[in-house]
Amino acid sequence: MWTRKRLRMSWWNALMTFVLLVVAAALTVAGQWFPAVASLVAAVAIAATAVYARSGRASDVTRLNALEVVDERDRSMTAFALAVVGVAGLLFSMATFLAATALLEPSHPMFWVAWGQVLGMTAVWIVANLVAVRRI
Amino acid sequence: MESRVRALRTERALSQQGLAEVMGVSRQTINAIETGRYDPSLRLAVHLARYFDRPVEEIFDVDT
Repeated sequence: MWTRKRLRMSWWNALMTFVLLVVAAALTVAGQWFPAVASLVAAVAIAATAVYARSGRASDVTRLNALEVVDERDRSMTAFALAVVGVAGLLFSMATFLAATALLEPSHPMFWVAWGQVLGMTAVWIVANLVAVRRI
Repeated sequence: MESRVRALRTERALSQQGLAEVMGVSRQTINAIETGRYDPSLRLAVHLARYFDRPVEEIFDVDT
């Protein structure tokens, strides 16, 4: 709430901007000019997009893309969109798991990455269901 | 769900942006309620009813 009033952006975008500014400063000190400028540009772009998204002139899609949720309808749309992302993530990780199991030997590191990914996604799904049942 | 929000808002010569600012929501949310694309939460419906000084069921037609 404080960030929304003072910075006119969500805490998430404020955090992202802050982290990128710190990274840009650290890279400048280390003499890494190109990634430092890239981080600075990314920080400015995120902050500018967030402020514009919250200004009242932005469309629904701009607000959602910028993660600037202002009301209950935005929260509902964001939940729907992220649920679609979750289903796509589950399908992709399942496809990766099946391909890795069929094509790779267990000695290959990616074999276990694919297993870990699908098990992790399943665990997150179970926890999300438990949280949803308790909250809604 | 159909509503009388647009009629009540125009009665008060209020813009969608103006009502949105009073309710703490986006202009698009007011538009979505007025065009029946979005059913507001109970909290927002009650806030709208209080603002227009009407019963909730007079503003929102739950049978449509």
